[in-house]
Amino acid sequence: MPGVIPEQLKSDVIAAIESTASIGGDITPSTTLSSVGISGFAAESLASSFQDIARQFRPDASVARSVCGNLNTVADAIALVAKAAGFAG
Amino acid sequence: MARRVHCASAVICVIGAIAFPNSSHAQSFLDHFIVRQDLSTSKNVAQPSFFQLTAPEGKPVVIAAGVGVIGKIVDNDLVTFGPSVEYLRNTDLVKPVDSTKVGASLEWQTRKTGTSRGFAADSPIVIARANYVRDGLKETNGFQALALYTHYFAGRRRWPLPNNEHGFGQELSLIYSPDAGLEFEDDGGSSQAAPGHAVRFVAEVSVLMYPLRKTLEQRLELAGSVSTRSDLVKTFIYEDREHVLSSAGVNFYLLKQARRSAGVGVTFTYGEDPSKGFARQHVWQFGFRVQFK
Repeated sequence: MPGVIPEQLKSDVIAAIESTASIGGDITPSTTLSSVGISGFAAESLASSFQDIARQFRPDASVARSVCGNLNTVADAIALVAKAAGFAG
Repeated sequence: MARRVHCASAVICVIGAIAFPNSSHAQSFLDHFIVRQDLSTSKNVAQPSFFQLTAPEGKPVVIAAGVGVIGKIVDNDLVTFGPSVEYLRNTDLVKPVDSTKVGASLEWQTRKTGTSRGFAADSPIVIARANYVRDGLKETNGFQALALYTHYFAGRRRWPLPNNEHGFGQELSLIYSPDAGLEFEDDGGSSQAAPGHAVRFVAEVSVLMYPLRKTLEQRLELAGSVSTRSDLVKTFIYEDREHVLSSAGVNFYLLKQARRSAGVGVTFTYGEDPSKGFARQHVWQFGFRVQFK
């Protein structure tokens, strides 16, 4: 169902961000990644987890390091993985 | 003075237009590039490109610039690879420098990270470059290759670990990136310089600190770095076998997004770096900064 993002995908993305964050703070959709210490290598390293999450829904999904480095908020990350998984955009 | 102000205004406008274009097509185009001062350092602690104009009365404008650009041809979850160009020029110094490098750059995270998905909590990262090198002052042409290793740690850690931003309360954080590797340089020489080659052990550490982190949203950045190059083999005629370059600076970003930033900064540099043709000296620089991570 294109356009409807599964709750499982959202919670998996947030869990991936929580495990990568190096600085404390609540992780909500409006949280900026830099505010929890995710930039540079940390932001780009999310690509492996995001790709793994997206492949649960679309086996050939791919997520590039540089795209993850461009992410600003958690909501942006959810949208990116949803798009890679074929749910949006 | 008025001429300097006009030059500065023009540069700010150009930098703003480049770094923060309104067009989504332009932003999408810029996403294919990484822009920073020095491509041999890790992006985690990379310093922004600098541009500096000096407009002395009655003399030509002097341009100083340090900029490196990597295009991204291969870009997946572990590898970024593409062509690269690096340019360092400052002819207004006691010992001027004019170095151009054209080649290819690789950044490779060797294993997947992300404990929530069962991946590792840390990973080696390999940074490699191979370049044609042109020294515009000595009129020499050569080849350089560089391979560096660093290590990335993900997640919250009790102690500050490499490439992992560590918070000290809400208003101060620190991130440091040590790396080490080997560098090969071969120079064909010219009428002004003898040919030669060298193999060097390279070790460097760069540190960034963000005071008033939450209040200023990481716009204020304190930066420091020390690098040392030790000649293991050399046929160049210079005497020193150890080459140390250190720098300290402050940047304030007027415009900041997740990957793009632009602002002003001041940097003090002391030492030498033969790979850039930068002879031993100390330099103060104040100028405009742009970075696409």
